[in-house]
Amino acid sequence: MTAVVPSTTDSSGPLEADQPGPLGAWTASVRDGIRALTQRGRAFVAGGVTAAVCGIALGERDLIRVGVLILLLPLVTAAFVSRSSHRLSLTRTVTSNLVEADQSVTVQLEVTNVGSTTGLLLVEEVVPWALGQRPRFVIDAMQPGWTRRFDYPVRAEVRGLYEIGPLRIRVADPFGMLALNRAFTRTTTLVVVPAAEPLPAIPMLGAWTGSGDNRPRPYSVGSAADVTVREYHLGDDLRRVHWRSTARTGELMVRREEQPWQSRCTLFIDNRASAHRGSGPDSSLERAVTAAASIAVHLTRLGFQIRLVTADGDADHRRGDDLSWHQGDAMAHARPVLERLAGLPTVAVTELSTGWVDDTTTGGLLVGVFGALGEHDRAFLSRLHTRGGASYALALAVDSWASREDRTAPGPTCKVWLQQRGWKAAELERSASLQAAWQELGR
Amino acid sequence: MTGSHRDDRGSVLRAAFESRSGGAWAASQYLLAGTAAALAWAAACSWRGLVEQPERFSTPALFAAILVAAVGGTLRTLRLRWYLVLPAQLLVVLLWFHHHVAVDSALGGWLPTPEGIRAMVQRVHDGASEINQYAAPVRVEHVDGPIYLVAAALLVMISVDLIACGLQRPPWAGLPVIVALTVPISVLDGGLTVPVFLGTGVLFVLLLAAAETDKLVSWGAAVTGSHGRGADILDRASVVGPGLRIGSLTAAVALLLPALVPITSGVFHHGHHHGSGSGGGTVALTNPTVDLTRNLLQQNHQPLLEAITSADPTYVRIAVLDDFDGSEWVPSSLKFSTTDVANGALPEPVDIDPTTPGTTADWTFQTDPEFQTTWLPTPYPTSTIAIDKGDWRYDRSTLDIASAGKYTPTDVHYQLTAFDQKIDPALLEGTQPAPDALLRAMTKVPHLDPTVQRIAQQVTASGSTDYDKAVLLQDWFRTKGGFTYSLAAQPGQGMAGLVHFLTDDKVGYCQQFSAAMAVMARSLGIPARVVVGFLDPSTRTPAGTATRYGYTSDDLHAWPEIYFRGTGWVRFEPTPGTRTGPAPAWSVGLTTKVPSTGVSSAPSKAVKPVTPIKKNVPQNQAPAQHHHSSKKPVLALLVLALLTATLVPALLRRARRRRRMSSMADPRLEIAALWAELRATVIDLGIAWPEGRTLRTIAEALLRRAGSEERWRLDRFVDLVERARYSGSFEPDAAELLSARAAVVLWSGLLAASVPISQVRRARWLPRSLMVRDQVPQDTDDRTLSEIN
Repeated sequence: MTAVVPSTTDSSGPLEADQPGPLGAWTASVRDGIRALTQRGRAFVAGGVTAAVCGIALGERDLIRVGVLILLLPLVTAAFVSRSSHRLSLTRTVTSNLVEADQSVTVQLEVTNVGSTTGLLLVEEVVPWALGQRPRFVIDAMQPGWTRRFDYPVRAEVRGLYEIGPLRIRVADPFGMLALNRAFTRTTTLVVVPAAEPLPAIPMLGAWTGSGDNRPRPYSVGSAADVTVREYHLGDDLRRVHWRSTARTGELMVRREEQPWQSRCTLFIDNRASAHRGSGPDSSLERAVTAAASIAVHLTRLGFQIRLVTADGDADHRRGDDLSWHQGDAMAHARPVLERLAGLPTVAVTELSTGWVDDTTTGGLLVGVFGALGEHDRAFLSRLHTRGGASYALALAVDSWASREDRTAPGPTCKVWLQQRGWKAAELERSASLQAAWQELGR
Repeated sequence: MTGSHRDDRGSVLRAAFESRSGGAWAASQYLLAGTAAALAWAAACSWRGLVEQPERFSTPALFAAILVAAVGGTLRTLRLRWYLVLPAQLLVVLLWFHHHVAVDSALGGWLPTPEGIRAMVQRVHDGASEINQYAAPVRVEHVDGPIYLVAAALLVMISVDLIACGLQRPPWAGLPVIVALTVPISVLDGGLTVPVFLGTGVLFVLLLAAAETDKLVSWGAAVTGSHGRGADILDRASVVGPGLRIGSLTAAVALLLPALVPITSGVFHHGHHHGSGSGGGTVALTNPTVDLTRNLLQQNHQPLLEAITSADPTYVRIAVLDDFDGSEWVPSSLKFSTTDVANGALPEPVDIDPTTPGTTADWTFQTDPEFQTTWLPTPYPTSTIAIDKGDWRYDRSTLDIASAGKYTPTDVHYQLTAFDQKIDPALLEGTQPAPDALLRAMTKVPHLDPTVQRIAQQVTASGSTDYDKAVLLQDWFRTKGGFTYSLAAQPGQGMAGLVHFLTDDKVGYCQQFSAAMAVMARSLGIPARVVVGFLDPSTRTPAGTATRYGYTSDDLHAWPEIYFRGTGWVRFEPTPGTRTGPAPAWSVGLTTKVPSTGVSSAPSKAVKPVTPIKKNVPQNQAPAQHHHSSKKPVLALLVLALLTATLVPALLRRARRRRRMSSMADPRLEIAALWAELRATVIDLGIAWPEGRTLRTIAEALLRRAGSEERWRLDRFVDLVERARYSGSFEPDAAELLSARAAVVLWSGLLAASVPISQVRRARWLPRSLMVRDQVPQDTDDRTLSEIN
């Protein structure tokens, strides 16, 4: 699955603001440089002063010379380095800002010198440790107006929202006397969505009336009032042009020939910390997220409109996001869900939120990915089943993720309990495949 | 939009540290090792002044440096750790050194044998003692000196290489280098030569840069601009280039800047001597004048010298001070020729006629273990001498005998034969003028104060010959001039002190008397010099036919000598008789015939109770310090005056501003003054003031520079100025005047904010308006202003 998302460009302005005047700017930058002396630089200053004072006290001019040499070296370096320009502008381009876990993406950086000639620059891109080591570059001196371009690949093993940047710059001096650090402020967000596994098609008890086939129905029988239009694409039949809309919008609009049946699915994922075991990429939560993502992509392909509900409620709904119903791209459908899954944290609540349950939203298909279930949850779930048209449950055997000492005595599994309550349930072990579990749900 | 469509001006070269090519790594290692070795070699080259023909050690040392760098660089290219590289370097270098030093006893010239190693160690050891014993430069025949220096250079090279390359701490490599450089600083007179200083300085900086380059290059992937060149090459140039520039600049400044620092003999110089002088510590004679003064003033009766002789024990010379540098008498020749070793016969004194009558006598001297003297006390003239230890040389012209070794031996035993010259005053009277060369050299008085010459001429007015004049001078000091001998005298220094001594003070001790007489004689064109030595012994005990004399620090004395052709240098004694007894027989003149007891019995025991008012002398008050303290207030005043001078422009400007901003009787004048003040402020700030334009144009120019919110104030003020200048009747109310003043103040601030802070500072301390004020009257527009100015 490839994300075709417009790449993002992040332009950062010049690093330094204009100073009042050339001389003032120079003294200010020299002062900066002296302040930025490293331990080595400071040691040189101290040693030089000591030697020079000793030379004066002992009346040895050569000792003073040696002292002055040692003293001046860091100071002259500071003046020299501060004199060179640090006014740079940066453009960061990411080939795609939404990738699946384990896919790599290239980050391209373009540093332009908008000031006078620079010295050697050591740049370091601040990336989260999950994306690997921080990429480091040594940029050679640049004349005014020059641009240097460089790129590095980023590859995330774990889903998440990653901030790329800001770019940090250290102005290199020839002796390691200075630590003149600058940083751009702008960052780029990289969304790494969980890698969806392909799921086999299973007969599902649709939550819609009518056709038994879970496909969007062609729009050919509805009334003209229901017509929906879209922009004209190259190759569209001219006979499909909807002239009235065209007249209104000023652009060619065509009638949609088909309209997807709005088959809705509520995807519930239990992301309570208490419901999951293990930590990091190899935790039951990650497995649940991957499963949820796979299901979301699978169902989207089948034409379902997915609504993701988490343990603390329906964030989408609360935000009032208006999902657009008429996009044909399955990935685009799944994208908001995947983005939410990418950044899904564990929550500290102990009881599942019930606020999202209402008639309008539970009328369709309900798929739940559950962790460990408590008493309260069971009461809630037994009530929930009665609301949805069809209820599927993927219960994770979370104990198989727990370390040995945390493992509790195996009680009656959730799967059996859920099946008793009328859910179509399957259990997902740590070592088991999602496809198999999904298949089991279809039986 | 993606970057691929853009103009590709740079390329990305990925060269991670690990994947850097072996060639680059090796190059950087060799570069680092080479720079370190060159640095160590340059530092060792500062020892060139220690030996004659310094190539004897610097060339082998250069070869050793190449060896150290090559071995170190090669082994580190193989990524061996320092504890493996160091023994290998030592092995190779010692093998070479052994070959270099003891090639004869080595197997096949290279394989070391026990004898060879022993010989090598022995030669280094000998070289060390040669370097220690003999004065720099050690002469060519001492062949082991350079060997020792090569060994020392090896040590420096190995340690620099170990620290900079092995342990990767290049800044610390400066420590062995500084240690090496302290040798010439502390031992040689010339100190560091310019090439050595610049060389070590720049090489040290390059070493730092080279090591830092490695760090920078390995810091990350190189992003360079050109496709053709490798990342490593480009980055190296980008770092080392500026490094070299900075280093050269710094080294040059460090070379030149300290030349401006006034260097005396160091802050601790005086205090140090006083600390060691009291309480019978070591007595060191290195500067005859200073040490004489100190020892005399201390009056601690420290025994310094013993002599056994049957001859007259008075006036044993230590050193001749034949050069007057304008403020004090110093020995002219501190450098003794390497061939003039004081052992056996000494040359005949050139000045003394061989036919001069006199007696010879044998002397046996023994200096005290606590007495450290650069000059050996001898009677004059000495013909033969045998000294038991030390490296002593003689000066051909003065027959001074001085130690050429670095460490002056104490407890020296020496025997000599000296000639006791009989001086005939009649010969002195009728002497020919001195040879030209001698006359020129020995009558030099830089910065001669005319007062001295005038007094000398007055005193010697009645004399016709050099001898007469000398006698008259001595007589004047001893009796007629009204001089008093006192160790409590606190004479000034230099020519001023001399004049003071001759005119007002007239109190002093031998140093002042001898110096004054010699200077006065020179001012009259008579060759003269000062001699430091022992006046007469404090103790005498019979020792067989001879007598054992003991000289103490109290017996130190200074006296002048006058040159007479054919007789040579003749001693005079201007110091009053309370200290010295009667003057030498020949020096009292021909008129007063004194029985010839002169030389033999002049300072007899009878006249010894010379205990002048010296008890009052505080131990730690040297004349030099008073000289300093008298100068300090002057210096402080000078600094104060300079500081005040810098304040003058600012104060002037302030006064002018206050005058202009104060209210005046005539409102026209007041407005004109305010306008003038605004103009002055603008000029101070270095903003162009459109001279000769209309008020509105000027206001527009100002408005372009600073804030528009306050525009109305300026407009209103300009309005007022126009009215004040051109309207028939001008009677503004108080509020208008007040707002005009506010406008000037506000706009001064606004304009100041529009220029860099440096210009504001300049405006405050060095206001330009003070200089350009003259142009105002020519300004036709400022008619009113020119009237009030």
